[in-house]
Amino acid sequence: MRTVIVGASAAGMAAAEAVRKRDPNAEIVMLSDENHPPYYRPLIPYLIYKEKTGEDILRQARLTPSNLDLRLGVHSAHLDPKNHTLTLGQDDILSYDRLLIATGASPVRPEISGLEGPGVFTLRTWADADAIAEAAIGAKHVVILGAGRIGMKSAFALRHLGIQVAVVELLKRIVPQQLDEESAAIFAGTVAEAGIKTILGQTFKTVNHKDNKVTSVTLDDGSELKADLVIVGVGVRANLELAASGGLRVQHGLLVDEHLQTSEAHIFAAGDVVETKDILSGASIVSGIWTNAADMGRIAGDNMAGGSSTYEGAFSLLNAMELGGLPVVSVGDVQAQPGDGIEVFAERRGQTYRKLVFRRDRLIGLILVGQIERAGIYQTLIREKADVSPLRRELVGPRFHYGHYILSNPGITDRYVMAG
Amino acid sequence: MKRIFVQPDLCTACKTCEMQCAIEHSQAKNIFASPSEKPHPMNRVYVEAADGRKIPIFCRHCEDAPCVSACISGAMFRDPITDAVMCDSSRCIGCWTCVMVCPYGVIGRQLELGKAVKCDLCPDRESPACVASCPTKALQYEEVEGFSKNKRREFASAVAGG
Repeated sequence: MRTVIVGASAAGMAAAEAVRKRDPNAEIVMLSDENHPPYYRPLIPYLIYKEKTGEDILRQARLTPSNLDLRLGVHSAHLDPKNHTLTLGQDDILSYDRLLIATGASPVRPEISGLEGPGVFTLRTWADADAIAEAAIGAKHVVILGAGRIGMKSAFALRHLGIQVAVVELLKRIVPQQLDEESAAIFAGTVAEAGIKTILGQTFKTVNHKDNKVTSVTLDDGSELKADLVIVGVGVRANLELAASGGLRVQHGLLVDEHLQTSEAHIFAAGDVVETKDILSGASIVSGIWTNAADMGRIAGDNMAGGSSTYEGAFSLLNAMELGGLPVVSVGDVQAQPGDGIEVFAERRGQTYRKLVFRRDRLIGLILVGQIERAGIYQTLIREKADVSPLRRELVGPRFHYGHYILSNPGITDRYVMAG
Repeated sequence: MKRIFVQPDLCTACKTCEMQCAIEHSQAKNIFASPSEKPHPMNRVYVEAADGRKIPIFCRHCEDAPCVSACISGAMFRDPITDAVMCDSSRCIGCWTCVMVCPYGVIGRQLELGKAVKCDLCPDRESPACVASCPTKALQYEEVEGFSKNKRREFASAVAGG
């Protein structure tokens, strides 16, 4: 029985581990189109300012399944589901019994004049980070398009190198998916203190080049910003080429059922390439979130090795990070407006902010800034769609703990005692 | 495979376990010297109270541990010998994804270092410091297989019955 996994990041690795757990002797071939050995993608911003070396971001042996037939720098070009084969590169054929498509996603480049060519970068791979690090040598001005996670991580990384950084964001606040207005206002202060300039409600009109080098960026309102390099961080798009080459059903992502099986019975999918259901709303989403990818990988891998695990859906938002020394956790639907069964509790004290979004008896959204302790209990309540009506008073307080949950719901004590 | 089991009906919330945990995870490992250390020693076990009842809240070292699966830097891992879920500080970047996913809320933040801290079952000791110091034996360190169903039921009824 040969299991082939295309992709060596969060989803692919979690799947390989799940296959190995169920079948210690399974043959597992993992293909990656990157030349670097498997690494932790979220750590690549550290490569830009040399806070970490390549060695530091590698996935360690203890977190890699044993006996993995890992093949690097291999492009999976074509899929033939009928014959259970992949074409690698030009004409190498690899057959499989079970296939996992975990090809991930690639950065989107909007159609803006001059946004191609030398001096314009995206940040998705180790190679991208190396390229930015090299271009940053001697650079004085960087302009970043998009104030999401990647845009802000890039901004802080380049500030560490002493470069003047401006971030341009179309929406009216930074990290717009993860933050609401109030929390974005807190982080606006942190970002400004770090010396990062943010320009909101604007986008690029053109990126201007001279002699094969970026010189400046012209914004919508006609203003011009000096730039030696430009970074684009406006989101990603699922890598669907392989799935499409085999005639699998795709829309915005690769379509799967609740077992993460594609339209072909022996082909599964996991991670950023997948189009799945929002765990809360049921809406169709393509999620670009590490934790979702790892969850999907574990479930797809288990099913590929003969299990029957069910995937409940992905969080459209499930992120923790620290920006400028201030931590934030955002989970679920954090933008819902009060009314029609929605209640919002929000409380700000200086740099600390707590926002809980309720839909009737359920908690559906959370933002914690500053004090993020025990965020996981909230996350679990959201994930499990627990009836939180007996806990309302404790939940909104800063000292909510697992003891409250146990006492309100003795049915879970068994889980607490037996877990592990 | 040994685990810490808790019997809340025996807990008096004296918090000796919290203190001994912090001391064990300090450099001096000494009740007089440890509290003034930098970075400040932190406990990784917690005693909480609600409605007048006491509940020790401990890491369960979950089988499919969400903190290990979610860790974006390879810091969280399962020790192959003790089977405990461990945090490798040298790898931790303080992104707090583990804090976001831990269902029990038992991963702490060492703010001076910017690192996650959690129960490691005291690998240098025969019995974890919290268990060894518990004056009422509300904490027990036992083989999972040997911890009888009856005892688990006792726990469940202690919580349910109050």
